[in-house]
Amino acid sequence: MEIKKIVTCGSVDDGKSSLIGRIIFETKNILNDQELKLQNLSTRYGTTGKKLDFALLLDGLQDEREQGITIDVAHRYINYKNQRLVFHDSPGHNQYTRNVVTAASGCEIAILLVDVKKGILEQTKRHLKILDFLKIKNIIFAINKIDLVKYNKSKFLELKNQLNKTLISSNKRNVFFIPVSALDGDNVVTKSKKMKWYNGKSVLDTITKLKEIKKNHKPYLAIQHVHRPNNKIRNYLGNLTGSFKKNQKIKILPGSEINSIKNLYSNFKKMNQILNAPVALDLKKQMDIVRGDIVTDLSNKDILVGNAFNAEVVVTSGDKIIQGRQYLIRIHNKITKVTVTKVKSTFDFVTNQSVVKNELELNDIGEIEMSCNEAIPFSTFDKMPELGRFILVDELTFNVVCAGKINFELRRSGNIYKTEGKVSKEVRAKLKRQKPKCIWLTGLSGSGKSTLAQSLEKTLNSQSKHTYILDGDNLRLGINKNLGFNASDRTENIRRIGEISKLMVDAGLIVIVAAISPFRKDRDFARSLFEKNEFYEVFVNTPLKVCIKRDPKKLYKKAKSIKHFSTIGLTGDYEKPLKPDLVIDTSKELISNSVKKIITKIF
Amino acid sequence: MSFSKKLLQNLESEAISIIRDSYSKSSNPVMMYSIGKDSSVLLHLARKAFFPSIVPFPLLHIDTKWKFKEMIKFRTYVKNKFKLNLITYTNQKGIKLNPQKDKNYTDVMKTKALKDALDKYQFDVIYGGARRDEEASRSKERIVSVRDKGHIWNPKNQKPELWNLFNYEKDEDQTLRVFPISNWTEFDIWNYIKQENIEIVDLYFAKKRKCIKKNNAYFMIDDNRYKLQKGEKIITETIRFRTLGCYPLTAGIKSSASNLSQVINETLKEKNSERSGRLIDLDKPNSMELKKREGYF
Repeated sequence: MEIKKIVTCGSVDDGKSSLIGRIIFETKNILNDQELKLQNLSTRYGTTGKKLDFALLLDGLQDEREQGITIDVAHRYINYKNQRLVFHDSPGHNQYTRNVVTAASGCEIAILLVDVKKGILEQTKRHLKILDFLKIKNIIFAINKIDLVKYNKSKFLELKNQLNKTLISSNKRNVFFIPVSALDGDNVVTKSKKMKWYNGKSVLDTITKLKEIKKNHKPYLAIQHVHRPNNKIRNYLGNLTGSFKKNQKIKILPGSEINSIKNLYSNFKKMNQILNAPVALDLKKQMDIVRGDIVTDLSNKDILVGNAFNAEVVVTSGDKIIQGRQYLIRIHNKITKVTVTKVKSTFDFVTNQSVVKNELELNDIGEIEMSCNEAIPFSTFDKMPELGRFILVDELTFNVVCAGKINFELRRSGNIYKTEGKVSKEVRAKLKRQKPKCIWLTGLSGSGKSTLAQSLEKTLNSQSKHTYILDGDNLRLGINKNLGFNASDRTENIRRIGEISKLMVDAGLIVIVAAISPFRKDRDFARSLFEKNEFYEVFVNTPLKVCIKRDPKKLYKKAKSIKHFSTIGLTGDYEKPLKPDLVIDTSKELISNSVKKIITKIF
Repeated sequence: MSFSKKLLQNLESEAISIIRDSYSKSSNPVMMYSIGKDSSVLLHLARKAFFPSIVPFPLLHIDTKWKFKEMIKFRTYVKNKFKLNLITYTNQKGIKLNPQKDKNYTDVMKTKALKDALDKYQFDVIYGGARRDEEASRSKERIVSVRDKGHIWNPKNQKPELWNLFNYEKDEDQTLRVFPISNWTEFDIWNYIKQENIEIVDLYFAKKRKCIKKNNAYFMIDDNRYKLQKGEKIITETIRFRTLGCYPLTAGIKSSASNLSQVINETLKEKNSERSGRLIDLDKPNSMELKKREGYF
C-alpha cells in the first residue's frame, strides 16, 4: 500500500489530537522550529501543565487554540516504515459532526478513541455510525486514559465487551481494541511495559501491518471534462480505472452507444495501452459525449443506468432534506437535478432505532428515495463505491446538504417511458391562437391574489384567450386534500400545482396560479418545469398590515386566538422573491391597473 | 515499484484529477505562478492534465519588483518554452515601499496586489500550489476552498468536502481557490522534480553568493537597493534557498548541495521546516492564518 489514510474520531476530550501529536513526536516527524513553536503555544494555550500539549500541533486555527477544541479537520503526513500515513484529525463536538464526515470520507482506517473512565458516549455511537455509513474497513478502538485507572485490565475488558455489543453492523471488517495513554505514549508507537496483560500491538504497529484489500473492477473511465481547444480536437479526460487499449471497442453510458478508441494519451505520450492513470482519449466516431458519461468495455454489466434510487444519507448542513424538494446531485462526475421523492426514516441515537420522519436535519442519518430528471450511469455503493456515492447540494445556499450512497435502484422508474404524442404543444397552442404561459401569483394571505387572478382571467377571456385559474385553496379541497400545512406538505402542494400547470401549458392554455407559495425553492422548482418565456413570477406585495385588515379567510384572527395555529405572514416564514418578473401592491392601485400592468409585461 | 514512485503516481493522479475537475466547472480560471518549486510542479501537472493540448488557462504572477533577478529571468524562459499566457501584476500604489523598513510592504505588494489582480480580471477559479504540510492553518484547508466577497477566508465555516466529490456551486461574489497539491509534502515535491526532470530556478542549488548573515540565516544581496544595517557586512558564502520570495525577506541556508540528489538528501536530514526561512510567517503565532483570512494564499 502506498498511502494509508487514517481518521481519528471520538468524543470531546477523549484525546484524538494528543494521540496524533504523540505519533508525530515519537516518529520524529516534528521539526525544530515547529517544536519551538509548540513550546511557545503550550506555555500560552496548553492544558497539560509543564508537558508539551501535542493537541496544539494540530489545532491550527486561532479559535481552536483559544477555545481548546478542534473545529475542523487537520491533515498530517508522516513517512513511517516505507509507508505514507496521512492522519485526518476530526472534531469531537456535536456541532462539528459534519466535519467528521469530511475527515472520514476517503479513509480506510479509523481510530476511535474512547475514554476508559467515561465509557461509551452519544458521540462515540454517532461516530461509529458514521464509520459504518462510510464502510470503513478497519476500526481501531483506542481505549484511552488507561493510566487514570491504573492500567486496570478488567476496566479495559468491560469497555471492550460493551463496544463489541454496539457493533451491530455485519460489515466485514477488522476491529482492534488497544489500551493506550495518549498523553504518556503507552501503546501508541511502542508497546507499553506497564500493561503486561495486553498481548496485542501498539496503535502505530497495528496500522502499518494492515493489508490493503484490492478489488478488481472491469475497466471504466468516468468523464471529467470534454476538452475542445478547436473544432477538430475532442479529448475526453478522466482518471482511468483498469486498462484500455488502442483500437478497443467501447460503449458510452447512459446511452450505450458503441465506439472505439482512436488515441490514448497519458504522461505526455501517445500510448498503446494504459492502466490506472489519468488519460485523454480520442474516439473514432464523433459523438455527443458530456461530462458525467462513463466509457467502459462492452462486457461490463456492473455499471447500470437509472434515474430513481433508494439511498442512505448523512446530513451535513443546516439546510434540511425535505420530501418533495429539488436538489443538485453530484455522483462521480455527473451533476444534475434530483427530487427527494420520499424521506423514509432516520436513526435515533438515544433509542438505537430507526424512526419514521419526513424531513432530515443536520447530523441525521436516514434513508431516502430520490428521482433524477435524466437517466444516469451508476452502481450501488456496495459494488463500486466510486460510482455509488454522491452529494446533494442546496440550490439556494450551495451548501453540501448530505453525503449519500445508493442502496439500490427503484425499478419502477426504469419501466416508465415518456410517450411523445403526434400533436405537440406548439400545434395545440396554434389552434388556440395564443402562446401558452404560466402566470404565478405569490404573496401573503389577503394580498389579493385570487381577486387579481379572477380579474386577469376575465380580461384575457374578453380577448379570446383560453385560460384557467389554479387557486391554492380550491386545489386543497380536491387533489391536495391529503396535505397539511407543515413545510414538507407545503412543498408537495406547490410541486403538484407546478406539475398541473405544466400539463395545462402543454395543453396550450394560459394558466394563472394563485397560491401563497411561501418558499423560494419551491417557486424556483416550479419555474424549472417551464421553458424560457413561459413562466412569470408576479409578487403580490401588499403590506402585511393591509392583509391583516382585509383578512378574508379570518386566518390572522385565528392565529391570534388559537394556540399552535400559525399563519405564514405572522410567523415570518414567507420568503420574498429575489427577482420577480413583476411586483404589484394592491393597496396602492386599482385591480384594473394591476391587470393592465401584467398584460403589458407579459403579452 | 518503489515506495516513492508509487506514492508519486498516486499524488500525481489526484492532482491531475483535481485540475481537470475544477477546470470543467470554471468559467474564468487562472493559475497562480510564483516561479518557485511548488509552482513549477503545479505547472508541470497542468501541462500533463491537458496533453496533447496546451495549458488552457493563463498564469498569474504577482510581481513585487523585489524578487530575485534570476527568478524573473526564469519566468520569461518558462513562458516562452511552454507558450504560456502569463499575466504579471504589480500594485503600482506600493512601488516605492521598501521591504526592509515598511511594515505594510507584504500586505500592499502581495496580499492587496493579489486581490486587486483577481478583481481586475474577474477570475472565478484560482489554482494555487499551497500544501497542507507547510503550516498549521494550511493543514485545515479544503482542496476546493470558498473565498467570500473581498477574498475573505472563513475557516470556521468551511463546507464539507466528501470523498473526491467537490462542490463548485457558489454565489456570484464568491471565488474558489483550488489546491491540487494539498496532500504533497516538501519531500514529495523534490522527489517529483527529480523523477520528472522539472526545471527549477538555480537559486535552489548551493552556489557562492553575495550575502549578509543575520541570526544564522543568510540573505542574498541581489542588487544595490539593499541598505546595509549596522553591523552587517557583505560576505561570499555557499548557500541555497528552500523557498523563494522577495530577496530581502527570504533566508538562505549554508549548504553544499549543488544538485537535486544532494538537495533531497539534505532535505531528509533537515531539522527546520521550509517556511522557517520566511520572515513573513514569524510575526505572530497566528500570522499565516490572519494573512489567509485576508486573502493571501
